[in-house]
Amino acid sequence: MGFTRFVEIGRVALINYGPDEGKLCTIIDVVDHNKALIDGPEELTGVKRQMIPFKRLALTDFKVKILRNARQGTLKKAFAEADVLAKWGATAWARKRAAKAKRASLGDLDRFKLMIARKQKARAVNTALAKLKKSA
Amino acid sequence: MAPAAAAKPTGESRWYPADDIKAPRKSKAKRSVHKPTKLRSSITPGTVCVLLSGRFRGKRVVFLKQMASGTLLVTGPYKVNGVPLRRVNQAYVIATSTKLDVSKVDVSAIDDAYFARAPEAKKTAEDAFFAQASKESVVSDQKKKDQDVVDASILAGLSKDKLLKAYLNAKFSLTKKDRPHEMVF
Amino acid sequence: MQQPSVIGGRCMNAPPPSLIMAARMRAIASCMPPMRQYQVVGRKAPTEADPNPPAYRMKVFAATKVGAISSFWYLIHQMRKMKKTTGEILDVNEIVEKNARIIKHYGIWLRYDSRSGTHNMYREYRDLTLTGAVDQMYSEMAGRHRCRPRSIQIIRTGIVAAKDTKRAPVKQFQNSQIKFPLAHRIPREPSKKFRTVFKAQRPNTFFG
Repeated sequence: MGFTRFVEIGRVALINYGPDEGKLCTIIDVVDHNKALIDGPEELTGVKRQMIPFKRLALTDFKVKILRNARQGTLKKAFAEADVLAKWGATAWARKRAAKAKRASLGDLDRFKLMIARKQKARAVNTALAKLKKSA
Repeated sequence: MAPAAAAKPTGESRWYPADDIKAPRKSKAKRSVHKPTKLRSSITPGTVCVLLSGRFRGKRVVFLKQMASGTLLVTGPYKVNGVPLRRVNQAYVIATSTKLDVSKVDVSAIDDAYFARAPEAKKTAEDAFFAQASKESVVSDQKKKDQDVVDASILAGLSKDKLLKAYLNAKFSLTKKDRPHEMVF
Repeated sequence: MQQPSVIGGRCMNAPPPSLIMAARMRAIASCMPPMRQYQVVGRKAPTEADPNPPAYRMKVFAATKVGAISSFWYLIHQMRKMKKTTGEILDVNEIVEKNARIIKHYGIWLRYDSRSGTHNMYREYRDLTLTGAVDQMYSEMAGRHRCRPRSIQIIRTGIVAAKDTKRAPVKQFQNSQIKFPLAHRIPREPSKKFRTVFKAQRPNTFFG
């Protein structure tokens, strides 16, 4: 098992702590062994250009083709071209996060409806399973 | 500093009085002005609330109006989950984001006096001692009728949504992983 | 602090106050308040004998305006026959980094008193702002030399071109093809309230 995700110029990362928690960003420059310079781009992910410690970053599988210190416009173009947001949305990681957020935002009535739906699903599965068992 | 002192309005003493003079207290009638209880902004007519204490704790009820006493007038409706027209303190209620249409419900006749108990005939101490059992409370026909009218007007809008009816019928409870302070209602 | 420059008698034009509204991108909060750079202009108070004494300008690093004025008097006293009781401050402005969007190399020449003597030193830092580099310097001097801020005097600061940098820790990050993994990571909880001292399961520390 070798490493597949590296800190490098253009690597897309997820911010997992602080005011930008949950947003994607792109590494633009490496400041030192603890910090990176990142940019959203702001128009696409809502992260402003800033210095951030690696402790707050989780590296993703995606990489954008940019040079060091890329300008906002260049980065935005490259980010959109690589279709990072769509690809990220399709990963299991992102979907799990979205599901978690969705579940936390459910109100009382929605929770009740969810409970009913789960019951119906379980019943459907169980009856189908019982049928299969009988015929087997 | 000198010009500032000279600029003081005439007629006002330049010196503080040597002794403290107590300001007269406000009259008692003024002090005890009745301020109506502030209703939580999340509670509006039609809001589904979860009752947290009392006999009907865990029941989901519909808020109808605020009484003059500051308490909330709620009902199950009685036909759905057995909670009659009832007054509850808003502190013992969780307001949910679900709202029903109660614009057609007329509860203007129901006030605090409506819930007052009929004065009992005074008993002697001996009578009370020998009384066999407390009398069963009887719900008057008038109240039953009122309940039916209110129920009907709420159910008129509710009958289309079976799930909503089931929701009102179901009791609220917490399971192991639920953290009520972090949940959205 | 840099050599005081004489401004012919008059107070120089101050930068607009809008510059003071500095967008400070300080990701790492230290326990000390972040340093700011101030430009302090002061002179001897005019007397009958000398109605128009020369004004001196100095750029100093301090957390607050008050600290900047204090440090101005401390330093100017070492160079000129001036002191606070017989002098006056004409102007104090904050100097804000012009371009805080790219990483630069900052060289800092400093003097510090150790337990056994005084030393001169040159250090380099990579940072977005000069004040950020100065913050790094104070932390590093405290860590490596157990040196308190009061015993450090910054002689000169400047931006150094990448090819002129001397220190290996700085040089190694100049590579535009830089590439390294983050090994042995412990996933960070999204908020402080989710932190635990004890985990039910041993955390996975490998994230590719």
